[in-house]
Amino acid sequence: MTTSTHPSPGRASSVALVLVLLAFAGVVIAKESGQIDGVMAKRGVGALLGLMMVVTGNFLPKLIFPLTRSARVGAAERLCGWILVLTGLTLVVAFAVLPDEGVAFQGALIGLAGFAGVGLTLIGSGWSAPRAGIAGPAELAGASPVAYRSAKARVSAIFILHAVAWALAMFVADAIWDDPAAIWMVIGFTIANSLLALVLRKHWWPVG
Amino acid sequence: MSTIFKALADPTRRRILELLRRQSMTAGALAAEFPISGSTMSSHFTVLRDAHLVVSEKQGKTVVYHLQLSVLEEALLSFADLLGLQHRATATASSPPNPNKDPQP
Repeated sequence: MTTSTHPSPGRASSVALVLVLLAFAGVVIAKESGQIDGVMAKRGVGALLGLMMVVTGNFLPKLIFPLTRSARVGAAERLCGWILVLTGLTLVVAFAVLPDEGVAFQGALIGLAGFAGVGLTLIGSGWSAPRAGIAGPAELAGASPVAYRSAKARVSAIFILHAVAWALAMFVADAIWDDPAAIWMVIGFTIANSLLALVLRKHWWPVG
Repeated sequence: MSTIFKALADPTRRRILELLRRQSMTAGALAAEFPISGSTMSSHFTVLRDAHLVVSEKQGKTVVYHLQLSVLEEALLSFADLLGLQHRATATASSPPNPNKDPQP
């Protein structure tokens, strides 16, 4: 590998995600201090969720796993990246321009439709975790450093996208069933995230 | 960002990326697609690697190149192809020369 003055894609994406998280904190602080109302806060959070989809989707096709990757899976993952980026951009616009009434519900549905598109694309391509590079220690034993780093970044990307999907689902639940449902969704997210971590650690988590 | 624009400004490098979009290829197979010298191809690979647009991997004695384009970079590549951007004469000395003017190997 040659030395490059260009920042690595992983670092650039991490910086972008940290900025988005700081913006999340900014929205919460603005809401709590009374500078913005609840609807505006929902608009801000929804738009930032869209930005997270854009950043993660943009970065996803760079997470290669050369040793086992097929061209078909690579093409499917690039398409998924496009779907996430375009959905994220649509979310940002939707949360900016939709009328107050039902903005969270309608915006969240757009985001969830994007995730459904990603799911269908992966199923249609015959995507499977090992072939996509989410490989366990055995598969990664002989992997190149690039592939190894990609595998680790993939796990992070999965967690980020999982959190974004749950947040959008909570928007929908909140709009339909009000606060109690959203509280149950928080508990559900905690459990689902733990299960996801267990599954990833057992089968796909790169160690070392 | 400038390294990415520099990498995408050259038609040969864009063609390399197009080939890698279909499938990963060895350095030799890629070089066989272009009527330019090996050293010039090597320079092109270096520019693409430095911009993190491709990644190389040693498999035995061969070097395999894989595409590593983000969505934004893929959009830029398509845009550059659409406009037929050419490498300008202002390219720095570190940049490989225009392959169209290269002698046959």
